[in-house]
Amino acid sequence: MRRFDHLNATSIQEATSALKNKSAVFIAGGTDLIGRLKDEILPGYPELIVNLKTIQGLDYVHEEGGLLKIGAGTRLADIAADPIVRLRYTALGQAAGRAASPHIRRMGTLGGNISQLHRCWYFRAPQNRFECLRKGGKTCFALAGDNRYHSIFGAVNGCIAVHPSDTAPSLVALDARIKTTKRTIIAEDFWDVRVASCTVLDTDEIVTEVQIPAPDVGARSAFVKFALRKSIDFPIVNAAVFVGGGAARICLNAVAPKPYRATKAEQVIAGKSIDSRNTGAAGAAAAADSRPLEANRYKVQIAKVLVERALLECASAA
Amino acid sequence: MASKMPEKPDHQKFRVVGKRGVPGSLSYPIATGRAKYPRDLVFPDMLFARVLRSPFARAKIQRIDTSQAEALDGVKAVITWDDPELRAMPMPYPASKTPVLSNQAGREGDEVGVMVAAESEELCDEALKRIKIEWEVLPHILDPREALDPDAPVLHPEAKPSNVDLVNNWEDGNVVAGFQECDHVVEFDYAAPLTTTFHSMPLTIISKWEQDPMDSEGPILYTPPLYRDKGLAVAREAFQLPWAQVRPITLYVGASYCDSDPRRVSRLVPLLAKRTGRPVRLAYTRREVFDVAGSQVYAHVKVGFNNDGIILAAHGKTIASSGVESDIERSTTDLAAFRMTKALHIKNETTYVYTNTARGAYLRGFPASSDLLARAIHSIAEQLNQDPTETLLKNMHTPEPSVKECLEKGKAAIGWKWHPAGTRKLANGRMHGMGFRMRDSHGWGSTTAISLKLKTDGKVYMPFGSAYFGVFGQDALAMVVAEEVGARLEDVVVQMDPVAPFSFIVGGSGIGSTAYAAQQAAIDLKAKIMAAGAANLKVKPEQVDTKESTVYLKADPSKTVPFKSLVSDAVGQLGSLNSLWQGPTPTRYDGTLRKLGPVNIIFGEVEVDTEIGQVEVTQMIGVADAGKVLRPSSFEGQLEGCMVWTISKAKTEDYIFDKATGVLLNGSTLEYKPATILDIPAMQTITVETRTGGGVYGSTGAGENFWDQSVISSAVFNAIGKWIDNPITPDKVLKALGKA
Repeated sequence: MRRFDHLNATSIQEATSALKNKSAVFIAGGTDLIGRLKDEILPGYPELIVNLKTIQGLDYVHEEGGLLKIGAGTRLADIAADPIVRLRYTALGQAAGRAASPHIRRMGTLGGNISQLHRCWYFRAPQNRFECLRKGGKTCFALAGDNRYHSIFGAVNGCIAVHPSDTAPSLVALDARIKTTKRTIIAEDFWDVRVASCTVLDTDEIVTEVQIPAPDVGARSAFVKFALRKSIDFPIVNAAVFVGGGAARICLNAVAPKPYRATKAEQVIAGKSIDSRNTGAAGAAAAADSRPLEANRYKVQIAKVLVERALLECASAA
Repeated sequence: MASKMPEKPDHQKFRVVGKRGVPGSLSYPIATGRAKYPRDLVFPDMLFARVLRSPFARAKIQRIDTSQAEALDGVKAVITWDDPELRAMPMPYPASKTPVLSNQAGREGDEVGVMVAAESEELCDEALKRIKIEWEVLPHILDPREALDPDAPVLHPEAKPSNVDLVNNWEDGNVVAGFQECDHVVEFDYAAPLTTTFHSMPLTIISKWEQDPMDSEGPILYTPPLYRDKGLAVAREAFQLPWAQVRPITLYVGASYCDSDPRRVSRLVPLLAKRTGRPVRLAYTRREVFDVAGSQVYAHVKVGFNNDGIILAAHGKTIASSGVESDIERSTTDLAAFRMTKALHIKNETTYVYTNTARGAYLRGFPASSDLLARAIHSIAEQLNQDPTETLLKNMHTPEPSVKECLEKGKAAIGWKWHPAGTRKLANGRMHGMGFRMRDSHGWGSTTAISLKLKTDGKVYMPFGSAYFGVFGQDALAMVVAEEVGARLEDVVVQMDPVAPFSFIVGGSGIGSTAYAAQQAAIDLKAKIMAAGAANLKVKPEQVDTKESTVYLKADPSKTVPFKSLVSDAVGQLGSLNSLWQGPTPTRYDGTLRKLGPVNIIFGEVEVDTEIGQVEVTQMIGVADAGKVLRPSSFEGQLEGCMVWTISKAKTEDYIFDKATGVLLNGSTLEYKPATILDIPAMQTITVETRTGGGVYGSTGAGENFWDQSVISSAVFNAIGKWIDNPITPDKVLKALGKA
């Protein structure tokens, strides 16, 4: 690991100001960033790391004004353990409790989890071994290489890496808003595929809060994840669903460069009884637009089944 | 000293051996962190080192300019492959004629061209970046089957005319005639991936040279001993030093899972320390630990059997990877396991080839041989609608009860109730399967030495000079010494001593044989103790015996002499009684130190979610006949470790390369995915003691073949009726089921 300067920011203003004169990055839990720095996966290296965890007031979970408000610095373990989240925003609680490992959940924050960079073993190869599209190169090495874990819904800006966040699909399913130092973004619009970035955030923009509208009485949500290991493993596919008020919101992740909202599946299941016939149809609809590669065709089947199972879990919880 | 096979003792009569709840002599320092492994060591004035790692799977350095690295402040040494002292060192991998360091890289991550020592690791990295290199990138081979292609590049032309490393062909009987006698034939393909040796603590070499004030011979090199003290051996060779001048810098080496390759850095780091005159530390990264792996294997096997399920003939053709090079003999990826059956006609054709992948190594047991037998047994049973445990028993030619007893105990423990493949659906919708794998495991004797000394405090000291890597073997030896000498266990002191006579212990299979040496030394010491005690009591030696660290008169046990009062009485100024036993431990049938091995049978139960291709291992039972278990917690720990890795290998472990570049894509724990504790099901180990091995009291050792992977694939076959090669990942399961 190379040397860098470190700043414990005490305010948002101090944190953003620190970016003006140096190449700098923000750090919260650091569970993604530190690995990236150790492996030197990107061509550049920050001169300064600005610690956001020392800013007071970014760590909270409470309901207010018809919204669940979660500070961006709230740790995943705290979200997973929060009784209100578990009861009323179940998909998020399940996702936060299934991410990474107990150790990492006690370090990693919600803001960091949704802002983590894509998973692609070419993009993340140590020492910037593959100068891919996401690093300003001209080639997606995964497209011709080993893409067993990559997108089944095609590329975005030429990249087929997947976004691996477990909490992200839950936030989309729960129709969350991401509040930043500059604006409030609909969760579904938060992610993007750009050079060395996976969100629409400007380099000096910081997520401060996540807001989720309180669900109607009787609404249900669920999150399911498929990974090769039961702990400390990124999803091969995950899925979050919300059903309530005659509507449904369904989002998959790790299947595309951005969390994938399965609107066709939503249309199939909205207002209908959640039974195996309808959930099966919804699962099929969720994967209807998939365009898998030879090595990741299996993910299509898993995506279908996960949508089906997440919906059935909502039914069983009702 | 000649070895002799011991009589099988009455297992009920042991006083110390086999006792539970005995803490290891090093348990406290290990548990508290007081134990210092090479990675923990820090010395004043210490330098750090890095060796250049190839970014290419196969490449040659055409031109190198190290001037900018040498000019960097804090860089203390830059040594390139053409250094005369380096070139004079013996080749670490003589079969492929590859030197300690050359200008050619044979795999991505290979040590190549140049190494540096500097005041920090960061400076080393910076120095390596400043070295200007002109590479010639050469075509590479990742798949051993492609290595035999006539158009494939020859990877070691200076050593071999083709990529064939070695050939292991043999035939018992006449396999053509054998197949003519068969009622049925089953054929299958089998593949096993590269799997890493996976040091839990990445390798660290830290070396220093010091003038010993007690020694006028010259400077002493202190360096890590590594597994089986090979780190010391190669350093002695490299610097042409006598034994006394190369010593372990610590006796703690950490778990290494049969990884016996001391690596190039075992020579390179001492050289840097010699040149700089300072201690030098080189710590592997996690990624660098993927440099050594078990063989990648592709086999096609044909098995003939009669209507009763008895195998009459077997023919296997295997291509296996030696990796880029290897320092070991590889002869176990074959049909040897079929020699445990009644089959008279067996033909094996195995070809090991070089590839541009990790170096070949023994790894957590020998995978393919018993995998192939397990696959044959389960396939035959399925075809004849037989319970495969019956098929196995019918096929075993061993006359002893070991296999039967292990099978029965294992079946009872797991709740064995066989069903034809793909016929049992559970209430949760998953398919149920059970399988097992049996192996007459390898087990090795050794040439070893054990010395004992009764000192004036009445304790028996056992100096132990071999690296300590975690099976508490020394403590098993202490139990044997206490048993034989008649001492209290707490009066036998394992004294970790870097300059003690060589006391060789290998993992689960070697304790029984090294303990034989301890027993022989203890018998000799006991005779001396009894002679001294008898003199003290003024009787003849045959009139006394020992217990509880005393000599007592057999005719009147109230008359005793404590050990502590014997020593000065017996030998005056010398103040101790000594014994030393050295030599080869007992061997069996082929004179190669191989002794009667343990039988072990491992059972596994799985549930397969056929909708998403997920395999859940729900239960594992390990049953082993070790002849005599010396220290139960060592034995059970060995078996549990084997079962954990069985799951890991069955479900996730694989080297995944980018085919175009040969770059390893999953060289991290996150991507390689060894099993976590949540992936490990309920496990149980069961001890059986029917065999008579060549080790002490008939011990065979625990063995290592629990790490065979076929137990899970057999259970998955029973669940869904499809054979799936390891790792059994969802893509393969869904594809086999026609869902992907």
